[in-house]
Amino acid sequence: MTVETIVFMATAVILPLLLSEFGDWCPWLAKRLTRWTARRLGDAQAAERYSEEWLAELAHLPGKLSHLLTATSYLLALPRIRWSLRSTRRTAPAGPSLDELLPRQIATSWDSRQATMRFAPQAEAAFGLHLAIVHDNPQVRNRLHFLMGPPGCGKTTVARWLHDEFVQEGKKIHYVWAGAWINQDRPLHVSAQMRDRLIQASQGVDLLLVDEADQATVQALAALRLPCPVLVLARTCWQFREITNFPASTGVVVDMGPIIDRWRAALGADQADRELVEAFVVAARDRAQRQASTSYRAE
Amino acid sequence: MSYPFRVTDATVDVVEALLSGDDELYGLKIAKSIGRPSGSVVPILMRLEACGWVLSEWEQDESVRGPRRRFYRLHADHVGAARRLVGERKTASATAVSSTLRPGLGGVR
Repeated sequence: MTVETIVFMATAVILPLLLSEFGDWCPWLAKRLTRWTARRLGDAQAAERYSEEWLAELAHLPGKLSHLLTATSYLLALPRIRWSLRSTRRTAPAGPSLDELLPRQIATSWDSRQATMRFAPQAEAAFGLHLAIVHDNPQVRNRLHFLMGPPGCGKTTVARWLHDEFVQEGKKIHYVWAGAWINQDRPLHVSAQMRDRLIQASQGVDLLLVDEADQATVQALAALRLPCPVLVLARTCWQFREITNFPASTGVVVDMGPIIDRWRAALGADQADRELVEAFVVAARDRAQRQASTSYRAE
Repeated sequence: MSYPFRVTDATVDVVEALLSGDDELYGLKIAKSIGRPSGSVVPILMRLEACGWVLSEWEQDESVRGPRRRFYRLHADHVGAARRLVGERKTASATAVSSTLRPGLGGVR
């Protein structure tokens, strides 16, 4: 084989093949490099966020070599990104907190003492919701979860149990009573400034509980697109106020009505009714005691 | 006027890009629009977000599979200050240009 043939083979066949192969490998290499860079940020939460963000940006880039160049740019900026991340951790959260922005008034049915679930459907609803909120698929965030049911079925007890669980796990939870914020009786307009402040304040919140919500509350929440999971407590059989239109960001919907019906069928109607009546009596006694102690304190 | 972050040319460029009114601004798009490497824009956005000037949200399109982009925008409370910052820089650069490139008429005489 002559030298000319070798040079011809190298330039006309092997080099283009290698270049083509390298071009095909570029996006894969870029992804690996981007994930590696994100993992070096030194913070699991930041690594998860920036890995997803940068990979999505790479996916919108045309060409193949540009992927690798962009990934290299992230790698080269790693020391500065790490330094910025450390300095931002030392910075106090900007803007007002949710406590300052949202009314702290609570519903009369809310009891701040430890919640006790008195019958099986409550426990089923509570565990289902807890699982959905805590083990939320990271790809599906900003979800509006719903806990619905007829009046007196124990929605607030379930919410209180969730509240206690979150507090025990060291998570941040915020309670809002829709009656003091936004509902059909108080159709407040949320300005762009207020929306931005609410988004900023809810960034570190693990769950926002919105009690006694109606369609107007749900519309406002859907428009706000808060970054934290939201659990909406709403009544069914609530004339003109029942939630019938669920927004696109709806996550889990737990309706306690059918759960109670299934439980009644399994347990037998008499036994189920006895337990329900017993639970209502205990709840009513608790409420009366609470109201008495509140009025005593007020005096 | 004082700002809660270090004002550099790159920071002002990023703020100017955020003022463009584009609702779908992500890191790489900002970097391209201001002609800077994508890696250099990330720490700036991080600092602006930490001091509350910038808000970021995940892409909402549910039909998109795989990783989501994160869109950045100016906090409504700080749009005025951002415009002022960009205006200040323009005034400063115009002053600098006029002082360094002023045509000298001395030779004509």
